[in-house]
Amino acid sequence: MASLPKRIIKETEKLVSDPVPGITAEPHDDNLRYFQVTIEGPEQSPYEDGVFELELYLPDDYPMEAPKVRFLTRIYHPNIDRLGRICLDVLKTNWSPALQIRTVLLSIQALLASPNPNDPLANDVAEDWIKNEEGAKAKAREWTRSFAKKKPE
Amino acid sequence: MGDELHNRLLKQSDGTKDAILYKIIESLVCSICHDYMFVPMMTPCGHNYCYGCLNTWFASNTQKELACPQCRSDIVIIPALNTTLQQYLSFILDRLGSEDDEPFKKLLITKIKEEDDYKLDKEKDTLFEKVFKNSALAVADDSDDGITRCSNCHWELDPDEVEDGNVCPHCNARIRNYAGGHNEFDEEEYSEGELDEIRESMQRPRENRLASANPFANRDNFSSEEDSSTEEELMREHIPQGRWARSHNRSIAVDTSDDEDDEDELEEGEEEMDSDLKDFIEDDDDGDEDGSRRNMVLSALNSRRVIITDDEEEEGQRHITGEEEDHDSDFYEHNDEGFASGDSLDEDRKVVAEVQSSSDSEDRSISYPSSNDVGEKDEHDTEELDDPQPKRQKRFRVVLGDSDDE
Repeated sequence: MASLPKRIIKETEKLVSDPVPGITAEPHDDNLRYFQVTIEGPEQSPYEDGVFELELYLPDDYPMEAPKVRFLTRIYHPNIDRLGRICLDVLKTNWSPALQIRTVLLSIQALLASPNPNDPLANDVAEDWIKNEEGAKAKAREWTRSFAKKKPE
Repeated sequence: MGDELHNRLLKQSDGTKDAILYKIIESLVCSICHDYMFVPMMTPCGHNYCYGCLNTWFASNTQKELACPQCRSDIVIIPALNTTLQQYLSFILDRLGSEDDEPFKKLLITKIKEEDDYKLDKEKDTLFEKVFKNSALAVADDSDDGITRCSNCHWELDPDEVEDGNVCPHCNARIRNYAGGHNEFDEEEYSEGELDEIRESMQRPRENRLASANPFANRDNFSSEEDSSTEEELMREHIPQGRWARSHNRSIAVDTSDDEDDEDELEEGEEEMDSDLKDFIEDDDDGDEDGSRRNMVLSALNSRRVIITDDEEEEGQRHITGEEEDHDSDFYEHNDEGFASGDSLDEDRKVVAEVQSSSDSEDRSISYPSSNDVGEKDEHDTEELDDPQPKRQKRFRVVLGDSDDE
Protein backbone atom coordinates (compact mmCIF):
# COMPACT_ATOMS: atom_id res chain seq x y z
CA MET A 1 0.00 0.00 0.00
CA ALA A 2 1.12 3.48 -0.75
CA SER A 3 2.44 5.51 2.14
CA LEU A 4 -0.14 7.10 4.34
CA PRO A 5 -0.87 10.70 3.37
CA LYS A 6 0.06 13.28 5.96
CA ARG A 7 -3.56 14.32 6.24
CA ILE A 8 -4.64 10.89 7.46
CA ILE A 9 -1.88 10.83 10.07
CA LYS A 10 -2.90 14.27 11.28
CA GLU A 11 -6.56 13.39 11.44
CA THR A 12 -5.84 10.24 13.38
CA GLU A 13 -3.68 12.11 15.87
CA LYS A 14 -6.37 14.72 16.33
CA LEU A 15 -9.08 12.10 16.86
CA VAL A 16 -7.04 10.62 19.67
CA SER A 17 -5.81 13.85 21.26
CA ASP A 18 -9.09 15.73 20.93
CA PRO A 19 -11.90 13.17 20.67
CA VAL A 20 -15.45 14.12 19.73
CA PRO A 21 -17.83 13.65 22.68
CA GLY A 22 -19.80 10.45 22.28
CA ILE A 23 -17.67 9.20 19.41
CA THR A 24 -14.53 7.07 19.29
CA ALA A 25 -12.50 6.14 16.24
CA GLU A 26 -9.41 3.97 16.42
CA PRO A 27 -7.31 2.89 13.47
CA HIS A 28 -6.64 -0.80 13.02
CA ASP A 29 -3.11 -1.88 13.87
CA ASP A 30 -2.56 -3.60 10.53
CA ASN A 31 -4.28 -1.06 8.35
CA LEU A 32 -4.19 2.57 9.30
CA ARG A 33 -6.96 3.34 6.81
CA TYR A 34 -9.40 1.11 8.62
CA PHE A 35 -11.07 2.52 11.74
CA GLN A 36 -13.20 0.95 14.37
CA VAL A 37 -15.81 3.45 15.40
CA THR A 38 -18.37 3.73 18.16
CA ILE A 39 -21.14 6.28 18.28
CA GLU A 40 -23.35 6.88 21.27
CA GLY A 41 -27.03 7.21 20.48
CA PRO A 42 -28.07 10.86 20.81
CA GLU A 43 -30.09 11.82 23.84
CA GLN A 44 -33.84 11.99 23.43
CA SER A 45 -33.67 9.73 20.41
CA PRO A 46 -34.81 6.08 20.35
CA TYR A 47 -31.13 5.22 20.27
CA GLU A 48 -30.08 6.89 23.52
CA ASP A 49 -28.34 4.68 26.01
CA GLY A 50 -27.01 2.57 23.16
CA VAL A 51 -23.47 2.48 21.82
CA PHE A 52 -23.29 1.52 18.15
CA GLU A 53 -20.29 0.00 16.46
CA LEU A 54 -19.30 1.04 12.96
CA GLU A 55 -16.43 0.47 10.60
CA LEU A 56 -14.87 3.25 8.56
CA TYR A 57 -12.48 2.84 5.67
CA LEU A 58 -10.52 5.59 3.94
CA PRO A 59 -10.25 4.71 0.23
CA ASP A 60 -7.04 5.35 -1.69
CA ASP A 61 -8.43 8.55 -3.14
CA TYR A 62 -9.38 9.98 0.24
CA PRO A 63 -9.88 12.92 0.76
CA MET A 64 -11.00 13.30 -2.84
CA GLU A 65 -13.39 10.42 -2.23
CA ALA A 66 -15.64 10.02 0.82
CA PRO A 67 -14.80 7.51 3.56
CA LYS A 68 -16.78 4.28 3.46
CA VAL A 69 -18.78 3.89 6.65
CA ARG A 70 -21.07 1.07 7.75
CA PHE A 71 -22.95 0.16 10.89
CA LEU A 72 -21.87 -3.15 12.40
CA THR A 73 -24.51 -3.04 15.12
CA ARG A 74 -28.03 -3.73 13.89
CA ILE A 75 -30.16 -0.63 14.06
CA TYR A 76 -33.79 0.14 13.25
CA HIS A 77 -33.51 3.37 11.24
CA PRO A 78 -35.12 4.40 7.92
CA ASN A 79 -31.82 5.56 6.44
CA ILE A 80 -29.75 2.56 7.48
CA ASP A 81 -30.37 -0.83 5.89
CA ARG A 82 -29.95 -4.41 7.15
CA LEU A 83 -26.35 -4.48 6.01
CA GLY A 84 -25.58 -1.33 7.94
CA ARG A 85 -25.20 0.83 4.88
CA ILE A 86 -25.97 4.47 5.48
CA CYS A 87 -27.94 6.82 3.24
CA LEU A 88 -26.27 10.15 3.89
CA ASP A 89 -25.59 12.82 1.29
CA VAL A 90 -22.12 13.73 2.52
CA LEU A 91 -21.03 10.13 2.07
CA LYS A 92 -22.14 10.21 -1.54
CA THR A 93 -22.77 13.14 -3.84
CA ASN A 94 -22.23 15.89 -1.29
CA TRP A 95 -18.81 14.75 -0.23
CA SER A 96 -16.22 17.49 -0.07
CA PRO A 97 -12.51 17.13 0.69
CA ALA A 98 -12.91 19.80 3.35
CA LEU A 99 -14.91 17.30 5.39
CA GLN A 100 -13.09 14.87 7.68
CA ILE A 101 -13.60 11.65 9.59
CA ARG A 102 -14.69 13.75 12.54
CA THR A 103 -17.36 15.68 10.63
CA VAL A 104 -18.65 12.55 8.91
CA LEU A 105 -19.14 10.77 12.22
CA LEU A 106 -20.89 13.82 13.64
CA SER A 107 -23.21 13.79 10.63
CA ILE A 108 -24.04 10.16 11.29
CA GLN A 109 -24.77 10.95 14.92
CA ALA A 110 -27.06 13.74 13.76
CA LEU A 111 -28.79 11.30 11.40
CA LEU A 112 -29.61 9.12 14.41
CA ALA A 113 -31.14 12.14 16.11
CA SER A 114 -33.27 13.05 13.09
CA PRO A 115 -34.20 10.14 10.83
CA ASN A 116 -35.44 11.09 7.38
CA PRO A 117 -38.08 8.55 6.28
CA ASN A 118 -38.79 10.55 3.12
CA ASP A 119 -35.40 9.60 1.67
CA PRO A 120 -35.27 6.00 2.80
CA LEU A 121 -32.70 3.30 2.37
CA ALA A 122 -34.59 0.65 4.33
CA ASN A 123 -38.00 0.94 2.67
CA ASP A 124 -39.93 -1.20 5.13
CA VAL A 125 -38.57 0.75 8.09
CA ALA A 126 -39.33 4.06 6.39
CA GLU A 127 -42.88 2.98 5.65
CA ASP A 128 -43.33 1.93 9.22
CA TRP A 129 -41.88 5.27 10.33
CA ILE A 130 -44.28 7.29 8.21
CA LYS A 131 -47.39 5.24 9.07
CA ASN A 132 -46.81 4.72 12.73
CA GLU A 133 -44.00 6.89 14.07
CA GLU A 134 -44.52 6.02 17.72
CA GLY A 135 -44.56 2.31 17.00
CA ALA A 136 -41.45 2.57 14.85
CA LYS A 137 -39.64 4.49 17.56
CA ALA A 138 -40.62 1.87 20.12
CA LYS A 139 -39.19 -0.78 17.84
CA ALA A 140 -35.99 1.24 17.43
CA ARG A 141 -35.70 1.46 21.22
CA GLU A 142 -36.24 -2.27 21.46
CA TRP A 143 -33.53 -2.98 18.88
CA THR A 144 -31.20 -0.60 20.66
CA ARG A 145 -31.71 -2.56 23.88
CA SER A 146 -31.25 -5.88 22.09
CA PHE A 147 -28.29 -5.18 19.80
CA ALA A 148 -26.41 -2.07 20.94
CA LYS A 149 -24.00 -2.04 23.83
CA LYS A 150 -25.15 -0.22 26.87
CA LYS A 151 -23.79 3.27 27.37
CA PRO A 152 -21.42 3.33 30.37
CA GLU A 153 -22.77 5.35 33.27
CA MET B 1 -7.01 55.22 12.14
CA GLY B 2 -4.83 53.02 9.98
CA ASP B 3 -2.41 52.21 12.75
CA GLU B 4 -4.93 51.69 15.54
CA LEU B 5 -4.51 47.90 15.56
CA HIS B 6 -0.75 48.16 15.17
CA ASN B 7 -0.51 50.24 18.33
CA ARG B 8 -2.90 48.05 20.27
CA LEU B 9 -0.98 44.92 19.37
CA LEU B 10 2.20 46.31 20.91
CA LYS B 11 0.44 46.74 24.24
CA GLN B 12 -0.91 43.18 24.37
CA SER B 13 0.29 40.37 26.60
CA ASP B 14 2.35 37.59 25.06
CA GLY B 15 -0.64 35.26 25.37
CA THR B 16 -2.83 37.49 23.22
CA LYS B 17 -0.06 37.95 20.67
CA ASP B 18 0.46 34.21 20.49
CA ALA B 19 -3.24 33.63 19.98
CA ILE B 20 -3.28 36.10 17.11
CA LEU B 21 -0.19 34.61 15.51
CA TYR B 22 -1.49 31.09 15.93
CA LYS B 23 -4.72 32.06 14.23
CA ILE B 24 -2.79 33.54 11.32
CA ILE B 25 -0.69 30.40 10.88
CA GLU B 26 -3.85 28.29 11.05
CA SER B 27 -5.27 30.29 8.17
CA LEU B 28 -2.29 29.18 6.08
CA VAL B 29 -3.35 25.54 6.35
CA CYS B 30 -5.21 23.99 3.44
CA SER B 31 -8.48 22.33 4.40
CA ILE B 32 -7.91 19.61 1.83
CA CYS B 33 -4.43 18.34 2.72
CA HIS B 34 -4.27 19.90 6.20
CA ASP B 35 -0.83 21.18 5.35
CA TYR B 36 0.61 24.65 4.66
CA MET B 37 -0.43 26.30 1.44
CA PHE B 38 2.76 27.23 -0.33
CA VAL B 39 0.74 28.12 -3.41
CA PRO B 40 -2.59 29.32 -1.99
CA MET B 41 -5.30 29.72 -4.61
CA MET B 42 -8.37 31.73 -3.71
CA THR B 43 -11.75 30.76 -5.16
CA PRO B 44 -14.28 33.43 -6.17
CA CYS B 45 -16.13 32.63 -2.93
CA GLY B 46 -13.03 33.56 -0.94
CA HIS B 47 -11.71 30.18 0.22
CA ASN B 48 -8.09 29.19 -0.11
CA TYR B 49 -6.54 25.86 -1.05
CA CYS B 50 -3.20 24.60 -2.31
CA TYR B 51 -2.96 24.77 -6.06
CA GLY B 52 -2.23 21.05 -6.21
CA CYS B 53 -5.13 20.10 -3.93
CA LEU B 54 -7.66 22.18 -5.82
CA ASN B 55 -6.40 20.80 -9.10
CA THR B 56 -6.85 17.24 -7.85
CA TRP B 57 -10.29 18.05 -6.53
CA PHE B 58 -11.42 19.49 -9.85
CA ALA B 59 -10.04 16.48 -11.66
CA SER B 60 -11.89 14.04 -9.40
CA ASN B 61 -15.05 16.11 -9.31
CA THR B 62 -18.00 13.97 -10.28
CA GLN B 63 -20.63 16.68 -10.26
CA LYS B 64 -21.54 18.81 -13.19
CA GLU B 65 -20.31 21.98 -11.57
CA LEU B 66 -16.96 22.53 -9.94
CA ALA B 67 -17.78 23.15 -6.31
CA CYS B 68 -15.85 24.87 -3.53
CA PRO B 69 -14.98 22.23 -0.92
CA GLN B 70 -15.86 24.55 1.96
CA CYS B 71 -19.05 26.31 0.90
CA ARG B 72 -20.10 24.23 -2.12
CA SER B 73 -20.69 27.25 -4.31
CA ASP B 74 -20.03 26.74 -7.99
CA ILE B 75 -16.59 27.83 -9.00
CA VAL B 76 -17.14 29.37 -12.39
CA ILE B 77 -14.12 31.68 -12.43
CA ILE B 78 -10.59 30.40 -12.24
CA PRO B 79 -9.17 30.74 -8.70
CA ALA B 80 -6.37 33.29 -8.34
CA LEU B 81 -3.05 33.07 -6.54
CA ASN B 82 -3.46 34.63 -3.10
CA THR B 83 -0.14 36.43 -2.86
CA THR B 84 -0.90 37.87 0.58
CA LEU B 85 -1.13 34.44 2.17
CA GLN B 86 1.86 33.28 0.20
CA GLN B 87 3.92 36.16 1.56
CA TYR B 88 2.83 35.50 5.16
CA LEU B 89 4.05 31.96 4.88
CA SER B 90 7.34 32.93 3.28
CA PHE B 91 7.89 35.54 5.97
CA ILE B 92 7.15 33.08 8.77
CA LEU B 93 9.43 30.48 7.19
CA ASP B 94 12.21 33.05 6.90
CA ARG B 95 11.96 33.95 10.58
CA LEU B 96 11.35 30.54 12.08
CA GLY B 97 13.56 28.28 10.06
CA SER B 98 17.12 27.14 10.30
CA GLU B 99 18.90 25.24 7.55
CA ASP B 100 20.20 22.38 9.66
CA ASP B 101 16.79 21.43 10.93
CA GLU B 102 15.55 18.30 9.09
CA PRO B 103 11.76 18.83 9.31
CA PHE B 104 12.25 22.42 8.26
CA LYS B 105 14.33 21.38 5.26
CA LYS B 106 11.49 19.12 4.22
CA LEU B 107 9.12 22.06 4.37
CA LEU B 108 11.40 24.10 2.15
CA ILE B 109 11.70 21.26 -0.38
CA THR B 110 7.91 20.93 -0.51
CA LYS B 111 7.61 24.69 -0.92
CA ILE B 112 9.98 24.77 -3.85
CA LYS B 113 8.36 21.81 -5.52
CA GLU B 114 4.84 23.17 -5.22
CA GLU B 115 5.87 26.60 -6.41
CA ASP B 116 7.63 25.05 -9.39
CA ASP B 117 4.59 22.98 -10.28
CA TYR B 118 2.46 26.09 -10.28
CA LYS B 119 4.96 28.14 -12.26
CA LEU B 120 5.31 25.45 -14.87
CA ASP B 121 1.56 25.14 -15.35
CA LYS B 122 1.26 28.89 -15.51
CA GLU B 123 4.00 29.19 -18.11
CA LYS B 124 2.50 26.42 -20.19
CA ASP B 125 -0.87 28.07 -19.73
CA THR B 126 -2.31 24.84 -18.40
CA LEU B 127 -3.48 25.99 -14.96
CA PHE B 128 -6.07 23.59 -13.54
CA GLU B 129 -5.59 21.48 -16.64
CA LYS B 130 -7.35 24.21 -18.58
CA VAL B 131 -10.71 23.30 -17.19
CA PHE B 132 -11.65 26.97 -16.93
CA LYS B 133 -10.20 28.02 -20.26
CA ASN B 134 -11.71 25.34 -22.37
CA SER B 135 -15.04 24.82 -20.82
CA ALA B 136 -18.20 26.67 -20.10
CA LEU B 137 -21.59 25.89 -18.69
CA ALA B 138 -24.80 25.85 -20.64
CA VAL B 139 -27.14 27.96 -18.58
CA ALA B 140 -30.69 29.10 -18.99
CA ASP B 141 -32.28 31.86 -16.98
CA ASP B 142 -35.95 31.00 -16.72
CA SER B 143 -36.74 34.30 -15.07
CA ASP B 144 -35.34 36.00 -18.16
CA ASP B 145 -35.87 34.50 -21.61
CA GLY B 146 -35.15 30.89 -20.66
CA ILE B 147 -32.86 30.40 -23.63
CA THR B 148 -29.86 28.18 -23.06
CA ARG B 149 -26.63 30.10 -23.40
CA CYS B 150 -22.91 29.52 -23.14
CA SER B 151 -21.73 30.87 -19.80
CA ASN B 152 -18.54 32.01 -21.41
CA CYS B 153 -19.77 34.17 -24.26
CA HIS B 154 -23.57 34.13 -23.82
CA TRP B 155 -24.03 32.70 -27.27
CA GLU B 156 -27.31 30.88 -27.67
CA LEU B 157 -26.95 27.11 -27.59
CA ASP B 158 -29.29 24.65 -29.13
CA PRO B 159 -30.40 22.26 -26.42
CA ASP B 160 -30.56 19.49 -28.99
CA GLU B 161 -27.13 20.29 -30.16
CA VAL B 162 -24.87 20.50 -27.18
CA GLU B 163 -23.24 17.26 -26.21
CA ASP B 164 -20.28 16.65 -24.07
CA GLY B 165 -17.18 16.95 -26.12
CA ASN B 166 -19.11 19.50 -28.08
CA VAL B 167 -18.09 23.07 -28.11
CA CYS B 168 -19.82 26.42 -28.06
CA PRO B 169 -20.20 27.43 -31.70
CA HIS B 170 -19.13 30.95 -30.86
CA CYS B 171 -16.26 30.84 -28.36
CA ASN B 172 -15.29 27.20 -28.86
CA ALA B 173 -15.42 26.42 -25.15
CA ARG B 174 -16.33 22.85 -24.33
CA ILE B 175 -19.74 22.70 -22.69
CA ARG B 176 -19.05 20.72 -19.56
CA ASN B 177 -22.45 20.38 -17.92
CA TYR B 178 -24.57 19.66 -20.90
CA ALA B 179 -24.52 16.43 -22.76
CA GLY B 180 -27.33 16.92 -25.20
CA GLY B 181 -30.72 15.51 -25.95
CA HIS B 182 -30.30 12.00 -27.25
CA ASN B 183 -28.38 10.16 -24.61
CA GLU B 184 -31.57 8.50 -23.53
CA PHE B 185 -32.87 7.94 -26.96
CA ASP B 186 -36.25 6.30 -26.98
CA GLU B 187 -37.15 4.91 -30.34
CA GLU B 188 -40.79 4.66 -29.45
CA GLU B 189 -41.06 8.40 -29.20
CA TYR B 190 -40.46 8.71 -32.90
CA SER B 191 -42.40 7.52 -35.89
CA GLU B 192 -40.64 5.33 -38.41
CA GLY B 193 -40.23 8.25 -40.79
CA GLU B 194 -38.65 10.40 -38.12
CA LEU B 195 -36.30 7.60 -37.19
CA ASP B 196 -35.13 7.37 -40.78
CA GLU B 197 -34.51 11.07 -40.84
CA ILE B 198 -32.48 10.86 -37.68
CA ARG B 199 -30.42 8.00 -39.02
CA GLU B 200 -29.90 9.91 -42.20
CA SER B 201 -28.77 12.97 -40.33
CA MET B 202 -26.28 10.83 -38.49
CA GLN B 203 -24.90 9.59 -41.73
CA ARG B 204 -23.84 12.87 -43.19
CA PRO B 205 -20.41 13.32 -41.67
CA ARG B 206 -19.59 9.76 -42.48
CA GLU B 207 -20.72 10.18 -46.06
CA ASN B 208 -18.48 13.18 -46.49
CA ARG B 209 -15.61 11.33 -45.08
CA LEU B 210 -16.21 8.25 -47.12
CA ALA B 211 -16.40 10.27 -50.26
CA SER B 212 -13.15 12.07 -49.71
CA ALA B 213 -11.40 8.99 -48.44
CA ASN B 214 -12.35 7.12 -51.57
CA PRO B 215 -9.38 7.24 -53.92
CA PHE B 216 -11.70 6.97 -56.91
CA ALA B 217 -13.77 9.91 -55.86
CA ASN B 218 -13.99 12.88 -58.12
CA ARG B 219 -11.99 15.07 -55.87
CA ASP B 220 -12.36 18.36 -57.70
CA ASN B 221 -16.03 18.07 -57.79
CA PHE B 222 -16.33 17.19 -54.18
CA SER B 223 -13.97 19.78 -52.81
CA SER B 224 -15.71 22.59 -54.62
CA GLU B 225 -18.91 21.51 -53.01
CA GLU B 226 -17.20 21.34 -49.67
CA ASP B 227 -15.76 24.81 -50.03
CA SER B 228 -19.01 26.46 -50.84
CA SER B 229 -20.79 24.85 -47.94
CA THR B 230 -17.99 25.83 -45.62
CA GLU B 231 -18.26 29.41 -46.72
CA GLU B 232 -21.94 29.37 -46.20
CA GLU B 233 -21.51 28.05 -42.72
CA LEU B 234 -18.85 30.57 -41.91
CA MET B 235 -21.29 33.27 -42.80
CA ARG B 236 -23.91 31.81 -40.56
CA GLU B 237 -21.46 31.84 -37.75
CA HIS B 238 -22.00 35.56 -37.46
CA ILE B 239 -25.74 35.44 -37.47
CA PRO B 240 -27.19 34.82 -34.04
CA GLN B 241 -29.69 32.03 -34.21
CA GLY B 242 -31.80 30.44 -31.57
CA ARG B 243 -31.44 26.99 -33.00
CA TRP B 244 -28.35 25.53 -34.47
CA ALA B 245 -28.68 22.65 -36.78
CA ARG B 246 -26.32 19.80 -36.20
CA SER B 247 -24.31 20.53 -39.25
CA HIS B 248 -23.65 24.09 -38.15
CA ASN B 249 -22.20 23.27 -34.85
CA ARG B 250 -20.09 20.60 -36.32
CA SER B 251 -18.66 22.69 -39.05
CA ILE B 252 -18.19 25.77 -37.00
CA ALA B 253 -16.37 23.93 -34.34
CA VAL B 254 -14.04 23.01 -37.12
CA ASP B 255 -13.98 26.25 -39.00
CA THR B 256 -12.81 28.31 -36.08
CA SER B 257 -9.73 26.17 -35.95
CA ASP B 258 -8.90 27.52 -39.32
CA ASP B 259 -5.37 26.16 -39.62
CA GLU B 260 -6.56 22.61 -39.84
CA ASP B 261 -6.60 21.09 -43.28
CA ASP B 262 -9.54 19.36 -44.89
CA GLU B 263 -8.73 16.00 -43.53
CA ASP B 264 -8.75 17.36 -40.05
CA GLU B 265 -12.11 18.87 -40.61
CA LEU B 266 -13.43 15.56 -41.64
CA GLU B 267 -11.94 13.89 -38.64
CA GLU B 268 -13.55 16.47 -36.51
CA GLY B 269 -16.82 15.61 -38.14
CA GLU B 270 -16.17 12.06 -37.17
CA GLU B 271 -15.58 13.13 -33.64
CA GLU B 272 -19.09 14.46 -33.52
CA MET B 273 -20.27 11.42 -35.33
CA ASP B 274 -18.87 9.27 -32.62
CA SER B 275 -20.74 11.07 -29.96
CA ASP B 276 -23.90 10.86 -32.01
CA LEU B 277 -23.51 7.15 -32.23
CA LYS B 278 -22.88 6.90 -28.55
CA ASP B 279 -26.34 8.16 -28.00
CA PHE B 280 -27.57 5.06 -29.69
CA ILE B 281 -25.10 2.58 -28.39
CA GLU B 282 -24.76 1.78 -24.79
CA ASP B 283 -21.11 2.32 -24.61
CA ASP B 284 -19.03 0.93 -21.83
CA ASP B 285 -15.63 0.77 -23.38
CA ASP B 286 -14.54 4.34 -22.88
CA GLY B 287 -11.07 3.82 -21.65
CA ASP B 288 -9.91 7.32 -22.38
CA GLU B 289 -10.33 10.31 -20.18
CA ASP B 290 -12.68 11.97 -22.63
CA GLY B 291 -14.89 8.99 -22.19
CA SER B 292 -14.98 9.06 -18.45
CA ARG B 293 -15.64 12.75 -18.48
CA ARG B 294 -18.36 12.22 -20.99
CA ASN B 295 -19.97 9.65 -18.80
CA MET B 296 -19.78 11.99 -15.88
CA VAL B 297 -21.46 14.71 -17.82
CA LEU B 298 -23.99 12.35 -19.28
CA SER B 299 -25.03 11.24 -15.86
CA ALA B 300 -25.15 14.77 -14.61
CA LEU B 301 -27.14 15.97 -17.53
CA ASN B 302 -30.68 14.99 -16.91
CA SER B 303 -31.39 17.32 -14.07
CA ARG B 304 -30.11 20.22 -16.10
CA ARG B 305 -32.37 19.37 -18.96
CA VAL B 306 -35.42 20.15 -16.92
CA ILE B 307 -35.25 23.64 -18.27
CA ILE B 308 -36.15 22.52 -21.74
CA THR B 309 -39.69 21.63 -22.47
CA ASP B 310 -40.56 18.69 -24.64
CA ASP B 311 -42.11 20.94 -27.21
CA GLU B 312 -38.91 22.81 -27.68
CA GLU B 313 -36.99 19.63 -28.06
CA GLU B 314 -39.24 18.33 -30.76
CA GLU B 315 -39.22 21.61 -32.53
CA GLY B 316 -35.47 21.57 -32.51
CA GLN B 317 -35.45 18.05 -33.76
CA ARG B 318 -37.63 18.84 -36.72
CA HIS B 319 -35.50 21.79 -37.57
CA ILE B 320 -32.42 19.68 -37.54
CA THR B 321 -33.75 16.89 -39.61
CA GLY B 322 -35.10 19.30 -42.18
CA GLU B 323 -31.71 20.91 -42.48
CA GLU B 324 -29.99 17.61 -42.82
CA GLU B 325 -32.30 16.49 -45.54
CA ASP B 326 -31.19 19.38 -47.71
CA HIS B 327 -27.59 18.48 -47.28
CA ASP B 328 -28.29 14.90 -48.00
CA SER B 329 -30.06 15.59 -51.24
CA ASP B 330 -27.14 17.74 -52.33
CA PHE B 331 -24.95 14.89 -51.60
CA TYR B 332 -26.89 12.39 -53.60
CA GLU B 333 -26.79 14.64 -56.63
CA HIS B 334 -23.08 14.28 -56.53
CA ASN B 335 -23.42 10.63 -56.03
CA ASP B 336 -25.12 10.36 -59.34
CA GLU B 337 -21.96 11.62 -60.94
CA GLY B 338 -20.56 8.39 -59.83
CA PHE B 339 -17.80 9.04 -57.37
CA ALA B 340 -19.04 7.80 -54.04
CA SER B 341 -20.55 4.44 -53.72
CA GLY B 342 -24.20 4.93 -52.98
CA ASP B 343 -24.48 1.28 -52.08
CA SER B 344 -21.97 1.48 -49.34
CA LEU B 345 -23.74 4.46 -47.93
CA ASP B 346 -27.03 2.67 -47.84
CA GLU B 347 -25.37 -0.25 -46.28
CA ASP B 348 -23.85 1.98 -43.70
CA ARG B 349 -27.20 3.36 -42.80
CA LYS B 350 -28.60 -0.08 -42.45
CA VAL B 351 -25.73 -0.95 -40.23
CA VAL B 352 -26.39 1.95 -37.95
CA ALA B 353 -29.86 0.60 -37.50
CA GLU B 354 -28.41 -2.76 -36.67
CA VAL B 355 -26.02 -1.30 -34.21
CA GLN B 356 -28.83 0.51 -32.61
CA SER B 357 -30.80 -2.64 -32.07
CA SER B 358 -28.03 -5.03 -31.28
CA SER B 359 -25.41 -2.75 -29.77
CA ASP B 360 -22.90 -4.84 -31.60
CA SER B 361 -20.14 -2.60 -32.78
CA GLU B 362 -18.50 -5.39 -34.77
CA ASP B 363 -21.18 -5.15 -37.40
CA ARG B 364 -20.24 -1.66 -38.30
CA SER B 365 -16.73 -2.48 -39.29
CA ILE B 366 -17.95 -4.98 -41.84
CA SER B 367 -19.49 -2.43 -44.13
CA TYR B 368 -16.58 -0.02 -44.10
CA PRO B 369 -14.63 0.32 -47.27
CA SER B 370 -11.17 -0.90 -46.45
CA SER B 371 -9.69 2.52 -46.26
CA ASN B 372 -7.38 3.38 -43.43
CA ASP B 373 -8.85 6.79 -43.10
CA VAL B 374 -12.13 5.25 -42.21
CA GLY B 375 -10.99 2.63 -39.80
CA GLU B 376 -8.73 4.99 -38.00
CA LYS B 377 -11.49 7.10 -36.68
CA ASP B 378 -13.76 4.59 -35.17
CA GLU B 379 -12.84 4.07 -31.61
CA HIS B 380 -14.92 0.92 -31.33
CA ASP B 381 -13.16 -0.97 -34.03
CA THR B 382 -10.02 -2.14 -32.43
CA GLU B 383 -9.07 -4.23 -35.41
CA GLU B 384 -8.99 -1.38 -37.84
CA LEU B 385 -7.22 1.05 -35.61
CA ASP B 386 -4.16 1.96 -37.58
CA ASP B 387 -3.63 5.07 -35.58
CA PRO B 388 -5.95 4.90 -32.63
CA GLN B 389 -7.16 7.21 -29.93
CA PRO B 390 -4.04 9.12 -28.95
CA LYS B 391 -4.04 10.91 -32.26
CA ARG B 392 -7.72 11.54 -32.04
CA GLN B 393 -7.42 13.01 -28.61
CA LYS B 394 -4.56 15.12 -29.64
CA ARG B 395 -6.52 16.64 -32.44
CA PHE B 396 -9.32 17.30 -30.05
CA ARG B 397 -6.97 19.24 -27.87
CA VAL B 398 -5.65 21.16 -30.78
CA VAL B 399 -9.11 22.40 -31.56
CA LEU B 400 -9.68 23.33 -27.96
CA GLY B 401 -6.34 25.00 -27.77
CA ASP B 402 -7.33 27.40 -30.49
CA SER B 403 -10.06 28.77 -28.32
CA ASP B 404 -7.44 30.20 -25.99
CA ASP B 405 -6.56 32.82 -28.50
CA GLU B 406 -10.00 34.23 -28.47
